[in-house]
Amino acid sequence: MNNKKKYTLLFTALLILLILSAFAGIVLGGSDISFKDMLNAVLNKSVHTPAYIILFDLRLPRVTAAILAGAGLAVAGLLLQSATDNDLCSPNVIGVNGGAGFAYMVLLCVLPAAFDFLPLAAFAGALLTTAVVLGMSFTVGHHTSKTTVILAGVAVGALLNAGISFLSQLYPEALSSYSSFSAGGFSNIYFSDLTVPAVMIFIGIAAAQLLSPALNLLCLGDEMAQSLGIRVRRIRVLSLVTASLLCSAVVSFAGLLGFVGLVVPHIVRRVAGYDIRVLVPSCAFAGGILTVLSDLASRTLFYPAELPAGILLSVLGAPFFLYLLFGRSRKA
Amino acid sequence: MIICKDVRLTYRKKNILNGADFEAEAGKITVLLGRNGCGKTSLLRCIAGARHHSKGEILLNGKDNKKLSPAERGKILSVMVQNLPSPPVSVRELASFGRQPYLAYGGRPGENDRIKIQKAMELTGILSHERDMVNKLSGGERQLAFFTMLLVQDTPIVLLDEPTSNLDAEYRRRVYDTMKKMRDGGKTVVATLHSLEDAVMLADKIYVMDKGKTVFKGSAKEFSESEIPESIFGLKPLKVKSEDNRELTVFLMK
Repeated sequence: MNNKKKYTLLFTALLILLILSAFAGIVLGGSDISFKDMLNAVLNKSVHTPAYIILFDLRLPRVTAAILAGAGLAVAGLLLQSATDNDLCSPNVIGVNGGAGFAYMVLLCVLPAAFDFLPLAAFAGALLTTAVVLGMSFTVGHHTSKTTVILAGVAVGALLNAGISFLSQLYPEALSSYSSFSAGGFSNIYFSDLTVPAVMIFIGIAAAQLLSPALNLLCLGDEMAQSLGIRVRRIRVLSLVTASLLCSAVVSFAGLLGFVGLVVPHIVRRVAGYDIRVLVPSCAFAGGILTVLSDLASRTLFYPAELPAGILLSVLGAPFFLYLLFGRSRKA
Repeated sequence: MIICKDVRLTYRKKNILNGADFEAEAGKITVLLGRNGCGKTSLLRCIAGARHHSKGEILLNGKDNKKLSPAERGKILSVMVQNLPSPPVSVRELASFGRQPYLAYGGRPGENDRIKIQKAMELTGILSHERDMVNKLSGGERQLAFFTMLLVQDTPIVLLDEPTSNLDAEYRRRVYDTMKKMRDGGKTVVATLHSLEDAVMLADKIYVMDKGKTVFKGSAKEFSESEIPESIFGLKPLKVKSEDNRELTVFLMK
């Protein structure tokens, strides 16, 4: 099978899987509504029926949010791993989680009344921290070092986590709200929360697709990529900025979702290969599918209790990642 | 053609290059020799534009290297680094990367490009591995795969940093044959080497570097007859005749 056919098949399969997962995410759930009621709600648009409210006001925004978050984080992870040439790189490595969490905690503690601004604070914190991390790594050394980005991210992240712990000692009442934010999830999300992040995620994914031909050449190392006419430093900076934009947009409505950005690019590479032009859309689809299914599982497995999707993603993601790691070392 | 005049490079307050002068002509193989840490790779990296020299001038085919954009440089000069990466791409895909400087951003190789790729793979003898992943090849095959990419890039200047390190005799011979084909095609070929025997056998011109400076330039014969092998490398040249009556120079440790 030639590449064109292979990729058409792959994208079609992923699209069908995404539609099926979204459909499952909308029709399945803890609430006991019959399929007939749902169909009625869709066809007759009877706005005030419980079925309509559950489908259109609760589940549809939730599924949309999960698709956006999964797609954004998976593409961000792919960009980070490609730009730093490090398979273990993920959004939290460039300080996204630390920055978003610290800003969220500061607002909770200092201005608890400004509850509506918490997503904005998380977004600003994530973006500002990644800007600091990138700025630090770009000023150290002659070239944009792949290792410096990671080290700067880890150091800044550790500092901000210490700040979060310090604030939680001073303001223990803020801790429960922070916990649900740090676990990540999609409960109580409305379409109005998603407009701005959705635009940013679409722009981020489009930018990643534009960067992908140049990112493909970074696997040759900086010197050889540059000798092929690539502005290595510029491509790396743009990739990291795009990744931080995507992560910040997701953090603002979904909290700190773990493992999607790390695991999805690895899974997709096994199926789709290493061409980043193909990996960007594939990761976006696969990230969406994984997150929608995790969210569905998190709200149905222990119904009436609901597990934050982030916890389930970590529970599933960590062993899977270890399996990949050990599988690879066995092969080596 | 490459002209380097009084090239200086300082990194973290350390002088790496202290006024290196160097010239390489088209249609010739110029070999850079020197002990570890003498500045050979740094000079090559400055020529390749990967490092910006602090002082001096580097001209590539008459153009100031500092004023060239990576895209312009990609059409003049191609590079093979010392420690080759193991990219997760097939040999054919790697070879096709060589057409990158000539394509519009994100563009795919056309029919003419594909012919060039095919010919280059035939020339380096890597065609039987075209579908194999580069990261699964042996060291020698990987080296030839990268040589194929360089041939596809088809630039007038080719820089090779230790192109035969870790290769067995058969692969070294194939690499040197490819270098000679590049030279015969009119290219300016510059290589750093560790083996003085190979340098004398291959080079049209030899430069020797020491402490960031060029301390010798001349033909292979002039190099063998000079005091440089002994004073810089601690090796004594000895002329021997092979069974087929070829005159060879070997360098013996003192």
